[in-house]
Amino acid sequence: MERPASEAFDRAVQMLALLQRDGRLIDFLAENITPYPDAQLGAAVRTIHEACRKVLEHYVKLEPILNSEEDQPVTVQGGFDPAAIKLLGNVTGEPPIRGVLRHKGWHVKEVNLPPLPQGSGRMVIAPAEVELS
Amino acid sequence: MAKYIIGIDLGTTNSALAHCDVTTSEEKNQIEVRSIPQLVDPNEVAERTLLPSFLYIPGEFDFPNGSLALPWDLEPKLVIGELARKRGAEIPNRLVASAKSWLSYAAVNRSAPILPWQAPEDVPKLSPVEASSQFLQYLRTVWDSGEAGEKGQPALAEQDVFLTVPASFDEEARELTRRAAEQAGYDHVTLLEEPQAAFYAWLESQGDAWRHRIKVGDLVLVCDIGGGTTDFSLIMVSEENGELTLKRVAVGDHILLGGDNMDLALARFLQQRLEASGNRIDIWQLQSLWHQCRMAKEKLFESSKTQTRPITLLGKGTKLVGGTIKTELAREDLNQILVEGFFPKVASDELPARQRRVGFQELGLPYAADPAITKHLARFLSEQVRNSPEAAGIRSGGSGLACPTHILFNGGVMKAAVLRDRVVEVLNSWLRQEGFEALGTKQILEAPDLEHAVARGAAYYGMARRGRGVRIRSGASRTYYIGIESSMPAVPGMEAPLKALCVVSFGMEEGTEASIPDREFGLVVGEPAEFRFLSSSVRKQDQVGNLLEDWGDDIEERSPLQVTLKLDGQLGKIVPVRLETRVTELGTLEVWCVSRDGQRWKLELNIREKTKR
Repeated sequence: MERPASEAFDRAVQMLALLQRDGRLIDFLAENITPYPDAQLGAAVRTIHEACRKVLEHYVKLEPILNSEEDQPVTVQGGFDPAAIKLLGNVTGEPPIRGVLRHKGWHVKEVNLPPLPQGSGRMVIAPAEVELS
Repeated sequence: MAKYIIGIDLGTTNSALAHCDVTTSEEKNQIEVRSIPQLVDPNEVAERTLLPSFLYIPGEFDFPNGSLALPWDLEPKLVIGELARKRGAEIPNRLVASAKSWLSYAAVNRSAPILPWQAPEDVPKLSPVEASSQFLQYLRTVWDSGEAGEKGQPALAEQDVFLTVPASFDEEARELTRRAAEQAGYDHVTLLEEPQAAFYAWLESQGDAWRHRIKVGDLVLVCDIGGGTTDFSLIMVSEENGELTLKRVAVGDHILLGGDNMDLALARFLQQRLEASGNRIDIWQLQSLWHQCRMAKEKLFESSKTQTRPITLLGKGTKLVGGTIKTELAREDLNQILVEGFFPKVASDELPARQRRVGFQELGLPYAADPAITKHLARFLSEQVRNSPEAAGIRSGGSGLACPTHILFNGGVMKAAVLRDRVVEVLNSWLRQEGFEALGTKQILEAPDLEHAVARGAAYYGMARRGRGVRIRSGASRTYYIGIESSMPAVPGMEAPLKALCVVSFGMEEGTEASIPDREFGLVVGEPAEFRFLSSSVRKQDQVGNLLEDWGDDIEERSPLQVTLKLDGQLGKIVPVRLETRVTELGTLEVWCVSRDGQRWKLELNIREKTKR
């Protein structure tokens, strides 16, 4: 494939590679899970959840945008960024806007990715594994 | 003069480095554990306070190009630390582990390139000495090129380094350790035994309160159980010129049995249980099982309310959910396998089983045959102590079993309270049987931060040696003065100025005396007088007899003593006296006033500050 030479591309690959390396997220998403009973699926999910959480904590610190309790009243001040706060329902009138918080939102606080691999490593989410005996 | 004292614990499984800046104020001898940057994954360097003592020799295809770059070396030939351990679990032939245990194994040529042990021809090898040297060199490079380097701080080679070795290391193993340090470019290295370092770490954690727990003549059993090894030793607390000294009076074998064996035992147990119900576990799942058992074990040890921990082995390859195997580790499993398996309650004469020797033995590290650590302890306290040159001075029971007065725990395994309690329980049953008192909480010495204790203790020992050592007796924590009213014409509205005469210098030890022979003062006798006492926490250089006139804020006044000193019914006289001071073993200051005809009056003040216990 003709790979666009961009850092953004490489970092996107790297983020997936980290979630796969430490959390096996890609293996999980790529698998056909329909045949499996919930109990088995649940056990696997708990493990992947814990591992992927650590990846996020470590490499990309996330924070809620509105840090208060969901399903409780909240006030949005004027001058807010519609990219950060999305209004729903009976949207009328001027800020400050009083409503009920339905989702806290997420934004990135810090990105601490390790150095990118060299060369073709930048296309790899997970290396193939071959065992010798 | 070296600026730093550095303590290095070159452990079998993990190494650590602690340091202390000797030029900063003595007030807070801050010993810090240093972060050690190391490769944790290809392309990723992270800081850890421990450096796993693993060395990986990369083959041509083992790592992607350029993924081993370190801040100070873009293409290192060897991988050291966490990544070495990780990748070594996948390709065992190229991993050097337990180099330290090899350093003490006399059956092989420890200076010959034999590690990785029995690796194929094409793997370049190192000697145990060289491997150890590599770890020391790594620590040195981290120090020299880290933030230390940027701030223009002096190189590690110029500092005073205290390197710990197991007490069980023979003279040759110690010599080889010195050689490894030399090869790594260390110029000023002093070797210190690990149990002693652990004791000093405990001292550091106690501040001055240690004197309430330990006295000269006590016999401390040091029980050190780490990832791969168990070491027992007996230390007698003694004194030399008022300085605390530790005499190691008995040492056991360097037993190759530790936390890793325990985790593996748990993993094998669960593996059998899973296979019995029809699951197949491959070698990678066993690794994952081992790792999860360790995590589950720690959680169960930490919180006594939890009864089980789930263990999930994800399927291999891309059949993650499809191959998922679920099981759990229960507290009863932990008790049965770890507590009963490794720390069974045994009598003091139950010795570890020796497997019947097969005529031909494969050469390799002599792993312990019997996993019962309590039996190894029994053997130590009976047989091995008996063979020690100091045996005569060691407190023993009727059966000849050495009976310690205290126990000091060290090593990661001893973080678990359940295991510490079991060891104490077993030891106490032996002590009672021999007619001695059981150990209570005060006799159980626990340094916080068990993983870094040896490194910290080594640094603390180094600091103590720089100064006057750890003094057996408490020293005054402040400088004390009595107020002397100056002889000056009265000025209305103004108090006669007060001078301060130093009567106790900072650090003056309980049980010592000082006198001021060359000066006389006028003592008011026969009428009520106010004796003013002052102290300073900052003026540490004043000597007994120094008379100060100006001191700004440095000296604070305490509550005065109101006292009438009697002289044969005489009233209101001033008697010329010389002064002698004594700090008693109970922490009281006695100021003795001696007149020319030998009469003596005493002023007393309690100066012992309450220390936190």
